[in-house]
Amino acid sequence: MPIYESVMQEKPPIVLEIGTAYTKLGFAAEPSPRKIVRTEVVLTTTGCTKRLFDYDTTEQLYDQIVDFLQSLFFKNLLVSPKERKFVVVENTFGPTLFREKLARVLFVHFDASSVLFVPVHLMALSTLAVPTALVVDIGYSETSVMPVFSGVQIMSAFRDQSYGGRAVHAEIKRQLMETGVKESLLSEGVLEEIKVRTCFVTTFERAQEYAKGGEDLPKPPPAVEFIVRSDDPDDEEMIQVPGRLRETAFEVMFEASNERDSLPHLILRSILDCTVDVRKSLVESVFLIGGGSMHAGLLARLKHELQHLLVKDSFYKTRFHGDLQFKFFPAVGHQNFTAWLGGALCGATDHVQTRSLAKDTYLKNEHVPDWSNLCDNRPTGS
Amino acid sequence: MELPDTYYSKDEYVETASGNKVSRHTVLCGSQNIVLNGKVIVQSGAIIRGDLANVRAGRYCVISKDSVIRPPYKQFSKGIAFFPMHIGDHVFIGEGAVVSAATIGSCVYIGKNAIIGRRCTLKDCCVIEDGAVLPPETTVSSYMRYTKKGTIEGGQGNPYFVPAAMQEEMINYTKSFYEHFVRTPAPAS
Amino acid sequence: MSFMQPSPVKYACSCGVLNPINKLFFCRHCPKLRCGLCVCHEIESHFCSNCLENIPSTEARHRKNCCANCFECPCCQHTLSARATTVPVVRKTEEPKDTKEGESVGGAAAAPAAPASSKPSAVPTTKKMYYLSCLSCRWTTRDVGIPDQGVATGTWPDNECLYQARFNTLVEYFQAVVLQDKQEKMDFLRRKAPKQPKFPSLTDRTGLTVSMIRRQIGWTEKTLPKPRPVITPAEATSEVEELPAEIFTEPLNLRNVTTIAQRHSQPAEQPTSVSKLYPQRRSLWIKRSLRCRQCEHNLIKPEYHPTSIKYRIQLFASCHVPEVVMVRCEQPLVAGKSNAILLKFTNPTMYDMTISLLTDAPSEEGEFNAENQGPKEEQDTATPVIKGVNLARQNSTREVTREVKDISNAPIVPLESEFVLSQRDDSKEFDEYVQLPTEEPKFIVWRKGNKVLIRLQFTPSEELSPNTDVVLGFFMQYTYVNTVTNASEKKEPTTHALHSRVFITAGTTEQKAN
Repeated sequence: MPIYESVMQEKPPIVLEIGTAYTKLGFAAEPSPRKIVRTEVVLTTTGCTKRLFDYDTTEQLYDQIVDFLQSLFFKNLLVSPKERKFVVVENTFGPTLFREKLARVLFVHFDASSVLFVPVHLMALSTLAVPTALVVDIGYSETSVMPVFSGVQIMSAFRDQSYGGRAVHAEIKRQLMETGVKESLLSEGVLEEIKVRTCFVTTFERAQEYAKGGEDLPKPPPAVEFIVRSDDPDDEEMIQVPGRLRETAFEVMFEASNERDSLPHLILRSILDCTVDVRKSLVESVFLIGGGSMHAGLLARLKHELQHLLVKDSFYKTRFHGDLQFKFFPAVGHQNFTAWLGGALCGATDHVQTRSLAKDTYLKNEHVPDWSNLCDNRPTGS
Repeated sequence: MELPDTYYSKDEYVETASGNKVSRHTVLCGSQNIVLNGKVIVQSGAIIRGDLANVRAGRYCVISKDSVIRPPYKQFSKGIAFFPMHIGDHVFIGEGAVVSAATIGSCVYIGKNAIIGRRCTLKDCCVIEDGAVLPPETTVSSYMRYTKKGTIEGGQGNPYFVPAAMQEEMINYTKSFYEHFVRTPAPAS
Repeated sequence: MSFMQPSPVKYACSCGVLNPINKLFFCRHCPKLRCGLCVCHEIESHFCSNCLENIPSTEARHRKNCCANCFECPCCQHTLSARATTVPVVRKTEEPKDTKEGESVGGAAAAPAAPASSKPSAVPTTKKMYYLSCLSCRWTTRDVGIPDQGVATGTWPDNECLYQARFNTLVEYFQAVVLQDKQEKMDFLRRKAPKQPKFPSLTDRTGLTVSMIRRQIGWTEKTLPKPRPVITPAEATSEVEELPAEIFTEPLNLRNVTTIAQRHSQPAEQPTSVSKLYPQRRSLWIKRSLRCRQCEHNLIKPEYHPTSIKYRIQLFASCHVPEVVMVRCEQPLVAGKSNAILLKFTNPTMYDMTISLLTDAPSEEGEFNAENQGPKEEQDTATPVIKGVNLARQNSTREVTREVKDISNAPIVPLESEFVLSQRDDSKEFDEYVQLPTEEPKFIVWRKGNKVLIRLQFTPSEELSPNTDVVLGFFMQYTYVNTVTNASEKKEPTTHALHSRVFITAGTTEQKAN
């Protein structure tokens, strides 16, 4: 019976997007991931929980990936990874080591039949069915900007900066500790809850007034009382989240500094790195993805900042011409799994058969083809 | 690690013909409704509310210090009713645990200060971690581990959370607990 | 308790990882120790851990691995219970007003549900209605305005994906695009490949091709290029959602804002307001079977039935390998001072065992070569191509075995002789035990049935600073009688001399007495 079943019904590929903070997992051709879980492993040896990307040795990383994937397959997806096809949505500039180890775990430990690595930005774009856009991925560890024109990533114009969820958390922590909150209360999980549930991205005008400082600051929004629960139920504490924190937590992404590397600058610089011909179409098709782009007010603020820089900043004024209006794409579904959704679309097509890295190929030389590796990218093809 | 001997004084504990060792410093309400099937240890400070409904415990159970065994109740429009509670064989109930389950299977480990809400069902070979709180009417199936955080982990064949040989382990553990629970040797005179 | 507290005795698995014996398995066919890391996990059966119903795998896949009857609280992820209420039914279409609450499903005292139409309207008839309620956080389906259902298992609404239609068009579009690409590529390759005409073609020689002739006589092209699949692309707008003005003035009520866990438990909707929380179907659980990667025999195979705790195949290490239990150390542990530890050995098998404790790996013979030399051999992955050949058939064994990390820091004094552990005999448990006056080696403290208590001398290393763990390591060689053999013609059990490496954390060192 099982043989008959497997012949009759091709099992859908498993689609994974392993982010620094959250992992999105599910099956191809499904409109939403089955689960969104923290990228954390419960170590089978000691039973303690730690982040997947915290490791000392590569062997440790390997063991952690094994434990992590094991819990994904047997607790969340409830499918056997053996002889399965996989689509892995990966960061184009992610560490090669992780990629190699992941492939090794999938092929050697879990006996996967094929793995298709697909880049985040392109996949996100495929959910729109448009060929050209400036994809901005606001993740946990970093924010990256990748222009895509006619379905081709313009690698030379790729930009990234280390402000994402983590930087915002650090800012919230800093501000709260200034008001006298104990550091021990502010775990990463608590900071994230505060960020998601109370904070928002303020308007351009108010941010300007805050930045100016002085006496007449705008009246901050009402403060919020936030209950911090630790593992010990008796140990509960109420902390005040000041209104000013609520609206200024995200300013780390917009801070004007001499470096000129805030998010609006990053986007404009990236556009400037592209040829003149594509700039206008990129300006008119900005696509924000990643969990960090879901906060209230972010899009409005970003648009305002961008328009402001175009008109007011002398550097950009001389380089951008014509009447430019930034336009944004609305995401299909929620932004935090847009890239996964693209992977699910890709997994539904014939690409998994033709473009994947098959197990036999991998086992022959234990190497994952990589765009940055010259061995795989010789024009003759090897 | 081999269990060390635990000593009790002859005056404190009553030993029945079937091998039950029950401390005198316990509150056994409605003792005619409490059935201990032999080789059960009830340590000091434990409370068993037999007055509410029948309580039956299988062989080789350990009811540790200051634990509370309270039959579950159910609310009806006309009032509440209590239901009998069944505890299987080789069940360990940790210190200070409050148990109001409907049934507890065999070879179950309940950690210290765990709270088992009313009408829970604990199937055979499950583990309740120290300090875990089970909301009412929770079912914990075999080879599952209910964690302090409130999540359920494990499952049969998963070697990490509950040992695959849980049945044998609990039998060994409760038996050796019984064997190492010995009367204080009379002072040499 | 061995599984509540970490065990001080660890065995080295054949893959090099240290584990307590209750996490180890013993493959009788290899015969080697296996742990959770070096076996292949497989899904044996799906079941719901709440209603304990077995669900066949096809049905489980069809239901997206969710139980049909059980729901989870969207607020706290605990299981929801169905609660019954009696609702007076009025003949006219009037909203039922007052409900008697607080009665559970099985409430025998409740009035029997009567069909509303069969009774005269003068008598107030009642009908049982059900709603779901969480007993952990008191959330109910009424909180979010889901109407009560007539049956307990209920036709609770499954929230539909808002963009399902768009997603389907996207899937179809991309499938068509990729297929067409493939088609064109194949056409291109066919055209490029030199044709091998079977018959001499007249048209070829005259320089006329079929398509040219067709065109000349005014026919259409034979193969019209298929139309490209079309889709309406998404449109970018310059209209963006501005922050609502009241966010700066109105106080925020955190009770109405969902937590991250609540959002992620509904990945498709991710509601921000608690009024959008819907009961979620409970995820299923699995029973696993474990398989040896080397010989592909099952190590663990549970019974199908969810409530059964039995196994059809169970090869626990604790049933095959002599169990070492640490009893106690004779003296406080001091660095550099000779000490002794009491260890209890138990023979779980039906055959007598001869055990010896060694400081070095026993001299390798025959098939056991692989165990110790394996790590070195397989770590050499620089020439994987050659290895790939013989491993191509069973490539699941390619997992590299690791060198056992020697963490011992207290050399032991090896026992002067080996000793015998007698077989397990469950009936002896009830017999009165009589000590037989036999000549025993000096290190044996006592012997009872299949258990032996021995005294092992060791010296914690000189360099140990106070409060460090003292770990002793040794090789335990034991004879194992295997009743299953790989060669089927040999029926009688074979005896192997096996060894496993054991590490014991004896405790922490104390301050050196000056």
